[in-house]
Amino acid sequence: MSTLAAAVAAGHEGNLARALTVLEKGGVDAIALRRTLLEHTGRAMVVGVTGPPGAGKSSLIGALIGALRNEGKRVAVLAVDPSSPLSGGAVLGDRTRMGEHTLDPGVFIRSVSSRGQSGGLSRAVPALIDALDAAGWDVVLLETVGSGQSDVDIAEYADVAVLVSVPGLGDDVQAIKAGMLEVADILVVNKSDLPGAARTARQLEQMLSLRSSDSVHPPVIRTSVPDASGIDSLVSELGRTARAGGRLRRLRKEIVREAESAFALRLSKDLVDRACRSVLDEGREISVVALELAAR
Amino acid sequence: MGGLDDADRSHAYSECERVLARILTKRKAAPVDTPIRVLITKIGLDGHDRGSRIIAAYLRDAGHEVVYTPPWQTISGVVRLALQEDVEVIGVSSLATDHLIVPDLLRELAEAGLDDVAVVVGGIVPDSEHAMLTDAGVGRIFGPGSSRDEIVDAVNQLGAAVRDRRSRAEVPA
Amino acid sequence: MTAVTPSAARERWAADYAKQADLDRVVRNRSGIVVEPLYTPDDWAGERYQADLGFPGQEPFTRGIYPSMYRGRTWTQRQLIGLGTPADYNARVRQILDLGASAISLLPCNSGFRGLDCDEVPAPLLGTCGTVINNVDHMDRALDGVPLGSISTAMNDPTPFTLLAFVLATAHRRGVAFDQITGTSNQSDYISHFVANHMFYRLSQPGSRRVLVDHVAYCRERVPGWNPVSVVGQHMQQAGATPAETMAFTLATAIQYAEDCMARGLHPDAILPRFTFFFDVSISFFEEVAKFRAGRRIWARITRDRLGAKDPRSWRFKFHGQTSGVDLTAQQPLNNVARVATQAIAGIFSGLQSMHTDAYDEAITCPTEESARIAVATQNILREEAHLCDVIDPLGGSYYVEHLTDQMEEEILRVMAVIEEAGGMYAAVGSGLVQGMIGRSALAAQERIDAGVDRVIGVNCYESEDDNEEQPPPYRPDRESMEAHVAAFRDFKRSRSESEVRRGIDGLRAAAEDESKNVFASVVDAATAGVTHGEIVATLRDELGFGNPLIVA
Repeated sequence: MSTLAAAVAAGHEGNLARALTVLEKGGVDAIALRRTLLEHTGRAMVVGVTGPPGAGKSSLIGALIGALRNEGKRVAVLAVDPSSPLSGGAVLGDRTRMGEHTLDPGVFIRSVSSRGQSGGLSRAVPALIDALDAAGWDVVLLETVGSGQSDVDIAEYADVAVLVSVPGLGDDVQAIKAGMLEVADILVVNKSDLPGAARTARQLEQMLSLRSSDSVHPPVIRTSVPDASGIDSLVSELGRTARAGGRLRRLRKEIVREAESAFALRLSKDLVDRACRSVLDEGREISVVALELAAR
Repeated sequence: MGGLDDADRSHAYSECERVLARILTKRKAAPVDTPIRVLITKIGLDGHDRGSRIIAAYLRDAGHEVVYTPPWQTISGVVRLALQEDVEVIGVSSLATDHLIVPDLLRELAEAGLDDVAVVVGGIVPDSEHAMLTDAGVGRIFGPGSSRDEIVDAVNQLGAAVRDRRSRAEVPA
Repeated sequence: MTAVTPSAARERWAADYAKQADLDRVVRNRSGIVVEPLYTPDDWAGERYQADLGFPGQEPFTRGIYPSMYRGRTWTQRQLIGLGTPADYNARVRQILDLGASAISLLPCNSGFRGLDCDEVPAPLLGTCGTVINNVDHMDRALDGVPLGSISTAMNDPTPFTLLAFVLATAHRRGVAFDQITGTSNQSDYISHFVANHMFYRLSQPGSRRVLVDHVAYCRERVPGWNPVSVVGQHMQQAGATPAETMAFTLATAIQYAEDCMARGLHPDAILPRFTFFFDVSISFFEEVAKFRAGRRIWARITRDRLGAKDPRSWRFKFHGQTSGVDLTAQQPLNNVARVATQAIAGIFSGLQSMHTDAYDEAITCPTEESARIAVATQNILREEAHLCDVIDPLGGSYYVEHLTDQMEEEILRVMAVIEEAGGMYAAVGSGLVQGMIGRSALAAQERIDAGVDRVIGVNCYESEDDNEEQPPPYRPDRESMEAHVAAFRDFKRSRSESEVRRGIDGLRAAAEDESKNVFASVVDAATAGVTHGEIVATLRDELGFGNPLIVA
């Protein structure tokens, strides 16, 4: 695996793509590969972009790519889409809404399925970020559909967490998870060419002012992709907000998480055994037991 | 907890199988533990995407990860996409003669070192033009009326074969 | 013989029926409506005849939009064709006219649909599915010998309508007055392109929205015999919408266009008589008939009550029907002759104004001369031999058809309410709502075929050994003449007047920037000045945006 890691660090795109596959799959190979890759990390700025479906995240990211490219930055994107709860499969189509960057050698986009992590990011996302970082990409944009846990996750993995909202959610702005408001570094009101943008921005400001103990509120930026407005201020805000300590914080949390998930894995084996016994010995309904398992 | 005789036990097992089968019907048993990554795309000029969308849904329901593009991709764009997404299979949908440039796609894939990717074509390919595609390296051609099982099985097989070849390669080229 | 009460008779029938038929098998049509084995006066008694049906040529037009329907004048036989070079097209079009077609249509090459000229795309793709027409010379050649003042020409021509511009430039050249030109802009429905048939998608949504209204305004003033708006339900149904959804989306789209025009100050009675519709006619026979009858009745109400049209001509739902290629199979292709005939009968019983019958090999290739001839002959046989045209709306009054028409109307109105709730069609496609509905219906339809619930001969039942027979080779344009065509086009670009071209392109830019100018007028000017199709589209994309259609996977 060290050969692969070296090839990744040398910037070979095909090897990077293959490394991402290995890391996504997990297991011993992934752990070894990541360990080697970690030596090369620490330079990329990781920007998490989350928000409800229909907020225009992909198009906004497309615009961000353009603006960052104009600054000479090399940009990688991880576009995370939820997997089907029924099959575990996924249709990954976000990248096609990010505009015409396919042939730009300074842009690398990878579509990622959440692989069954309900409401959360793919377990592999931190490792994927490390790989992109090690491969020398200046900025890693991480796109996820906002849904509870992933919002908070994204804040842990990213140096800057951007929450994208959109006019027309109306009172539903309230529904934006309080958790994300707590951790977002920048709030964006996208599609601000639509009526109601000012109102949405105002509502967000009000909610932020209720955020306790913070003397400084995160900025609320209005963007519109068709008008190319607000994109530049968002980019400069990203640079300002990227915190020096962000990376370290992420790694620390990562270690805790790894330990937790290893523990959970053992636990669930026990659970499965117990479920089987409760069907065979206690005569419980299989469908009930199966559902209980699925719910875990 | 006793009281269970063998008949009860075998009944419980078969029940178990039945329920699991029901839950997993849509999963269609991918033969490998991680999903196959498939690119479903259209090159050339045609814009009819009903077929490619249905195929994408089939493969998702079979447990695979489908990178989906709108119509009108360029060949060089598809090559770079396949590279970045590290797909094992590319499915090209062609309803209005766009299959005529699929050999160009295979050539450019090979030039980019992606000659191990399996390429399948679905849609309308006249019999007289099948050889042109298979000679160029197309793995399968699915005509109108191909069933879900046929398509899913072929992607399973081709994808597993690609994965197998890749796992034996030390470091990708 | 004892007198039996109707209810006792009905009970006896129900009991007898239950002995012979499987009661558990629920039959649904494509729109999801449950179809019973029998309909009686309990389902439709005719009390509301005058309000719901009325007489042909009278509102609500359920029975047809003209008093005499096919007794007076049969439908227009309009075969959609397009292939090869303009010379190839011309040969085919003259042949079709000789065979009895009363109007023509033109399908441009896919490169044209993408807004590109022939010198910009991979050569093997040129002319395989449509004719390569990139400038006025090409159009002039394609329509050589076609009397522009008397033959109606339908152009498969999305925004910014370059084909019509080339037709007008040709008319100008031949000294034919614009008000003699008749026909239809078949692909003016940019919303359906955005949603369902991305094939024709050329300009951004807002850009297309503006150009369409400009096009309507221009034609109203300069080409009054032209139908500038054709709302294309066909795209929705081909992409997978159910027949009821299709009608709902189409009517919602038509409302959007009418309101856009009215917002520009055009009076509804000045535009609506030239609104036309374009639909798929599927093989779901009675459902199609009910779809169109219900659609006519809803449109009559919308135009009068909602849009405020006073002129009865504005209330008429004029439509072109194309037998659905989705129902055709590549397996046992000759079977498609029977399918097309069945679809065509449904279209005739639906009261269509103009019809295209598919060639049997359409699921495999561009039609050959033979298959194109059979497609036209199918219409001739139905019209001349089968006595289908003797009685107006012959299925009217059938308990089943009337009940189904009511049910389809209900379902159409339900879907229209969903669109209305979402803020109208423009907003509903912007958010992906419509795309999602179509995608789900398409998948459901395919799953019914996969599961054998819906049976398709030669595909999931009655498969035949003969399927392995080699098909005849498909139509491919002659390579040499296509290369010569492209070479001549390159020469044309080199030899034309640069200053004229510059002036044409500047005119396009100026019109695009100035809301008070008419973009389509500038397209006609540019076309006349020798600006090519690709150049016109590229210039307007630059000004009005392109973007991509929203595709919901």
